[in-house]
Amino acid sequence: MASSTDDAGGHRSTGLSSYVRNEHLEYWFAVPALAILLALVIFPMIWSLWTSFTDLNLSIASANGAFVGFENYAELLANDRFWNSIANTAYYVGIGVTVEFVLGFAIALFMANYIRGRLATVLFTLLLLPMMMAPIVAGLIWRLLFQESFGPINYALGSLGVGQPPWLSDTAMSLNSVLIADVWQWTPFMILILYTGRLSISQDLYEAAKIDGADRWFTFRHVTLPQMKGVVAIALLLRAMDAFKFFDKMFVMTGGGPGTSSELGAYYNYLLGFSSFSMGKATAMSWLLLLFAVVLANIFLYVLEQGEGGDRVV
Amino acid sequence: MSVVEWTRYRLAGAIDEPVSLRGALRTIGVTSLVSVVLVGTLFPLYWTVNTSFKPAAETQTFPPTFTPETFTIAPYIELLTGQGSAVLTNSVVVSVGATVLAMVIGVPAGYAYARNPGKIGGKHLAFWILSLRMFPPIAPILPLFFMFRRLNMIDTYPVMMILYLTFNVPLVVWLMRSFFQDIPQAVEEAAIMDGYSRLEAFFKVSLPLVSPGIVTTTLLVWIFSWNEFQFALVFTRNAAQTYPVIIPSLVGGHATLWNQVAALSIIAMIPIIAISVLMQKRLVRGLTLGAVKG
Repeated sequence: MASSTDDAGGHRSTGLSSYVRNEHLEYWFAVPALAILLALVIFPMIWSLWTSFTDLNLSIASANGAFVGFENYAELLANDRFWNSIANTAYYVGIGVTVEFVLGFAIALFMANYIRGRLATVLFTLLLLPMMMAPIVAGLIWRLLFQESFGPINYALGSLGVGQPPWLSDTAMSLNSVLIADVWQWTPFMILILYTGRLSISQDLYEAAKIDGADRWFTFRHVTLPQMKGVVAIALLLRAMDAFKFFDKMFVMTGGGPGTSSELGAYYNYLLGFSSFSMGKATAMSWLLLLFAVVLANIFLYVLEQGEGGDRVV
Repeated sequence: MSVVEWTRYRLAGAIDEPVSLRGALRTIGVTSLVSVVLVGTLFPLYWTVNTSFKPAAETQTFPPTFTPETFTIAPYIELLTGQGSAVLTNSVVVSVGATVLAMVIGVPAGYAYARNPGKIGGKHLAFWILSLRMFPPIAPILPLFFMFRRLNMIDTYPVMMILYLTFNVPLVVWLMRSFFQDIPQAVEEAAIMDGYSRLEAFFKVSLPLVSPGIVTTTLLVWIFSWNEFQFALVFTRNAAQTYPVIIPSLVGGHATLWNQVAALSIIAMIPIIAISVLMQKRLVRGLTLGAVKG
């Protein structure tokens, strides 16, 4: 290491030895951040791994943390409510991120191809506004919009003679209504990333494709897509992770109901810990969720890399 | 005359040359698509503004009023004289404190990973730090709750500032790493030749050069801390309650103060919108974790 002084950006240093000699600077600079993350993330997670193998329950005096092996995991895996929340999460993340991506990609490419100059800046700014709302606020505003008896959406549908769907109080619709709010808020995030990513592709590539007589589809398939691979991966991954771990909107729109029809995994996990106080089960569930997230993220990255000739994407 | 022909003639008149039917169709198509998307995006925001200027009773009338029938700024006044001012103050203290703390801890680490990652765990450790941000917060939330309850720190400013480090520090380290990488090491070496120590070179040369990156990172971290809900829900009761936590209570139970929810949302959004409009391009890089050099 001592002889190589290339920095991470690849700039060749002039070989100044005093620069390298103060090698403790990096330690002192990195140690506080690493120590904080160790204390706030790693230790708690070790504690929670241990607790997940005990019967700790704060509302039952006798359940004071005796070792029970895999009992919590077994109980969860045999629990319908657990699987219901996992299925809801899979649906919410899968459908939500797909719709947001398709819409966002279409709008981003459309803007890049057809809209120029000042209009593009103004439009871009307006389209990004939903992202600026706190997710919990967005959820409440949509609850107001979806109000069955006095909400503006049902008023409009009613006067068109379409009827007044029970957006939030019907078991088949509640999760979809939360999804609509999610799509409204986060499609802009996709537009933001994909539009910027599209604009950073060199115009020369498109001119070369044009000279070669490539049609629109061919250009999209062989210029736009490969160039945006990394950006697309980041956009999908960030959105999927956030959709997976946050329950803000569902919390204020339906509270998981009616029944458990819109209950997400992250929320059921929260209830296990802070409503029924069964810490053993709650920590076991957070480890199962973590496991699902890690496995899915790795499958996703693997598929993406295979599909594009094995290059590293992220 | 059909709409298409009419548009074609209008366009032809406006720019004084014949316009193809295809061009006219495209103009219509583009305009209507843009309008549909814009209406869908902006209507909920309009409804928030609309609701915030209504008296409480008018927010639940049938038919709904598309502009306030009785225009009033009372929701804003009631909110700010009620619990609104306390929670907004808490939000300001917590989000600013959390941001400063995350920057002080994260910026030097970002520098270290940009200059000499090999000395402190290499690229893998840097990527591992980033991945912490993506993990579901529920895994560490429970143990942290017990830890801080034992320390009697639940519902205090410091605990919120410390908790937000769990997702802010990874973001700061990763972003500042990419910003420092853009500054050639040779600049610092030149300063060292002139007699600076390495520490002085960092503070007097690199840090000023990277200040646009610091501004961007600060704003992003602040926005995330400002809008955070799940940690605040679990770790605050009253004294340190931030604004997202009281919002559900304004319409839960007996109260249905939709107008105050809307007013609080508008107040909370204004600083973020102002910042985003001013710094649009710079924020892109932050939100994409450096994947797009915005």
